[in-house]
Amino acid sequence: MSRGRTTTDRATAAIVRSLAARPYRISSPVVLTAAELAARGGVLPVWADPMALADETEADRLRERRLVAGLVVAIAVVVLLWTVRSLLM
Amino acid sequence: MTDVLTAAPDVAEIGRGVLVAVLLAFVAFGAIPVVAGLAQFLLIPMHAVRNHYRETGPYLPNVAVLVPAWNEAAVLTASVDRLMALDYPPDRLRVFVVDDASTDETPAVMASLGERFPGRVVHLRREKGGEGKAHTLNHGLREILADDWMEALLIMDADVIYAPDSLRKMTRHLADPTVGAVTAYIREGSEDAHGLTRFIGFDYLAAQAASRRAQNVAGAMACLAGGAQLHSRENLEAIGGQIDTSSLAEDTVTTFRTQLAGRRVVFEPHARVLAEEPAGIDALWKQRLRWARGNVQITSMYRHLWFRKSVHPGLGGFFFGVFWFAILLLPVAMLLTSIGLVGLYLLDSDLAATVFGAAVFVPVATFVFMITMTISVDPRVGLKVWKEALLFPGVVSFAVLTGATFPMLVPWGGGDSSGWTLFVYSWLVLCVPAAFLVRKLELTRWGHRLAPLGLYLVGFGPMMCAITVDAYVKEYRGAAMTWDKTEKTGRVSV
Repeated sequence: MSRGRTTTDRATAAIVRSLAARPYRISSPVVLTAAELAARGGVLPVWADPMALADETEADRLRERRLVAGLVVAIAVVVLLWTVRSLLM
Repeated sequence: MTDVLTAAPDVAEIGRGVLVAVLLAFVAFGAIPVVAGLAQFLLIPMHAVRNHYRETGPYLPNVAVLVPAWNEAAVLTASVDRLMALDYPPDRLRVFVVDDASTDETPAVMASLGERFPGRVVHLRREKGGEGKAHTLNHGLREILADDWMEALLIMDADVIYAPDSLRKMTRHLADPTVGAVTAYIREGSEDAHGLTRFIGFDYLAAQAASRRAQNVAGAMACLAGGAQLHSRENLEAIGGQIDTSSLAEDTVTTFRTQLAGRRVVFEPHARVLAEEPAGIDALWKQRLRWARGNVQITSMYRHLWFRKSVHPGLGGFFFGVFWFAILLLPVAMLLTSIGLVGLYLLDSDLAATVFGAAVFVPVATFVFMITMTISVDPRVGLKVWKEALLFPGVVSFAVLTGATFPMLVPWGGGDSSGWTLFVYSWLVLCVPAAFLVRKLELTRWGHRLAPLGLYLVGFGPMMCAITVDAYVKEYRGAAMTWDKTEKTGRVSV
């Protein structure tokens, strides 16, 4: 039995709407001194380069596509088992 | 009188029909967890297109890492060293270790770490300890929230090791103001993985890397991993700034509170965290019993939530409710299936065979999806534990499933096969007490070496069901909620 929408539910929905309307959180720019950069062998760390951070996220997003390959293999195995079973029975 | 006597066979027939219908309903009820499992594994591939990556941003907040520690001297140095080496702006990372009145070398280890990383590693000591993890976390939370510096808080366990890029992969999701908390992919990290730790390795793949992707897609997260949960400061303050101390599943309560307060919880599968897991069946049992009892407590605590979308669109949704209860009531489902099949066999063996034959391919398909999808989420680990994946339900169940799918392969299945058939129908429930026996076997002097063999025969899955049954019993009896800490030896390495 549904208890319907309560005051609390409406308050939560209002919070969700207000959060969605807020701007994205940003952090202050990372400042890397020449000495710190030298200590890292002159290689800019990923966290100091917003473009590198964006590339990393895009790579992770694209990596998720392998799940589709997993689905294809799963379907293929199930179909194969079903076919073998049907042929043998 | 004559009329009654002539009507008697009809009454018997009706009674038999009702009984058959009830038994069929038992079998159908028992199939719900299997179908729910299949639905969950079908959701996972959708994570390829339905994920949170497009809503992330290059957000690197000041992160306070909160580490509860009780007698963790063996693992603390390695954990803190790893944290200090994280690929994250050093001036935005501080570690707070809350020492829960440790009696080992923890204070000395922390003093040394404090000297090595001044201002970045803080030792907070509780003089009165032993109240449980949530109390320890709350001690640290009070200290950290009293200062404005922290913008995000990472709660972790003392023994876990974060991959260098993991923290910034978690913080990027907090750029989205609708996200309150992020969790990472914890995987078993023992270097010397053997039977039990390989089973745990597969279990973590299925329950964390795979299942949490499905929860991302469904828009409702069941649990932030206790050893890897990142909260925005805003979220912590919205949920009261304290961790629940009334249950054994404080991380699940935190997860639910976050979502019920209107914020999202996201799983980041590419933030990898290694954890040391129990090396023995008894230690594993105690750990999982705590989790299972916690889930029973949560079910009661949030009884107003289940299947009520008006309370929360995700947590109160139909699918989340089915997934939740499919795990919680799995032992009941197995029992009812067994009763249903054995009862049908006794009433009408042909009908039982027809029902079993028609239904058996559903668990087979679910099993195939479970293994394939789970391995595909992390092929490197998946290919190491593929044998344990196949034998997750146990050698006996695997043989039963194979024999039921391909009856012609069972040499003793033909002719008078009533013994084999009854065994197949009843093993679903018999495997649960068998799992109890395997645990008992490990505790005996002579059986200690045979227990791993018993685990492979009975299976890791049935053992988890047995632990759930134990949790029901302990909760029903109101047994004391003790915090049985898993012994850590520092076996984990990257």
